Amino acid sequence: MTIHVTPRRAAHVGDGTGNRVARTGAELPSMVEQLLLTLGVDPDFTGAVFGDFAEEYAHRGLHDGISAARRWYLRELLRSTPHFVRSWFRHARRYQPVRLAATLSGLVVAASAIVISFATRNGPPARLERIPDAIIVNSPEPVQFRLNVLDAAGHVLRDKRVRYQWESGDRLNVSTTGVVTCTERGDALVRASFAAIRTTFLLRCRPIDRFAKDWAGQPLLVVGGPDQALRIQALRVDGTRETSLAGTAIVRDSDIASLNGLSVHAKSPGGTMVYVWIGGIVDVIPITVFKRVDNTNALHPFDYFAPSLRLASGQTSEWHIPAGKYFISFRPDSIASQALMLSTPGATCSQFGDAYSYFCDASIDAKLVVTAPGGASPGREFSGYLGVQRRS
Amino acid sequence: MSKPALGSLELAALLTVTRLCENAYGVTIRRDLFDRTGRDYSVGAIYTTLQRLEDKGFLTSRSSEPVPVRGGRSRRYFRLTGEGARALRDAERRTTSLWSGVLAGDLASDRPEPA
Repeated sequence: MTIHVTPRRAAHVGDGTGNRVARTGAELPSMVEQLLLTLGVDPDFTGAVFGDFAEEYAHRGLHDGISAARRWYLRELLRSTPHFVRSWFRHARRYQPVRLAATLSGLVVAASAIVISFATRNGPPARLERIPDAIIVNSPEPVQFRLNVLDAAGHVLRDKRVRYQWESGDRLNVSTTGVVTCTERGDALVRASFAAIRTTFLLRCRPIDRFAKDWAGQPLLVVGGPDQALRIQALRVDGTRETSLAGTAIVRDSDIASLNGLSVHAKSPGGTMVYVWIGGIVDVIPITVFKRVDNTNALHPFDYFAPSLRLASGQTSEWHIPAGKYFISFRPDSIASQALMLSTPGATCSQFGDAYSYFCDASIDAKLVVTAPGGASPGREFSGYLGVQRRS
Repeated sequence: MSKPALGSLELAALLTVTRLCENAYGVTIRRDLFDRTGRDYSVGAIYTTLQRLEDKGFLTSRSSEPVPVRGGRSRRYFRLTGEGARALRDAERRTTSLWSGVLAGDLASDRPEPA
């Protein structure tokens, strides 16, 4: 008698009586049996049980079909598991727990490796990397686009080369390998493709030539105060300002300040630099973080003092400041308050940046004096802003 | 010294081994038990019981030559020992003693329920 079995999982063998019977696929039973033996289950017990499994499987394969035989095999394996455990306890010797632990550890590692490799395996190309709708290029030098091909799970397929092609808009220089040269301003639609997968994006060429220096224009950073946006002024070749910018910025000392995009968060008093890369050009922006103090009695470097400035007509306020270098901002709140006057006896000051900012070199016993004019309008109130930053 | 007691599966297995004579090994014992009791014992349960009976000295076993249909493994044939035979007779006596005095009428299915 012969039967048909699935060729890959079972084979026909003789049973010694001239009949042809199905034999179980050797892989799984051998592995399970080997594992049990490795764990220390009684080899006589294991051999007898698996021998019966094989014999019964062959018998059922002949009479009930291979699928039914496989189901029986699996069910019987599960039903017999407690007996294997019992046999292991009976048969375990001195070092069996160690062997068990080592085997189980190996199994866990192997299972983890299988799961990880399964989870991280690469599939066929499914899509291109997601990119912004518009890409800004500020460099006048050639720039290489590197758009990745991904599989359906988002894994990057390293060896797949994307082709690029200008589609419409201004005639910008785009090579098939993705090299873009932005010597002039312009906008173009560019197509990126890999086989049948394609996407288009807007290429915005905005070449810049240099940065404008704005030393005094940086925002005041105070610990605990609001985050401040860095002021970056990039200029085109013709000297006009370019506002469409794309780049990277890092802060040198992250203990003093941190960056979120181009927004600076003050963390502790001190001075540091922010490096900004845009279009292949680096701008170095010094930033200083101050600690707010309530008085000028012991004004240390990186202390910031900003009293409430509200004076009645004819009233004067004054503050002694220690010897050192200061950056002072003094600004009336309104036109009506423009009569407010700041004098700095004992300090040498020069205007810096705008009309309201000064660098001052204070000697011992220097002081800041703000006076509201007296005269015709008694009871009139003057208000303004006074900010004192001790630099050194 | 008291003799080790026999469980119900142990008793059934001893009787089956006795009945199968020279052909008593896992597969045949299991099939015979199924045919006679209707209970489908797992292969592991059968061998655990047989091993326990062997430990008690009621059975001995020997291995056959490797058999192709078993994937080249041997069959483990079991035989009743003298001790096993005595255990069976004891079990029979106890059972008979327990049954004595029980009349067929007492077990009739139409027997009225006690009030």
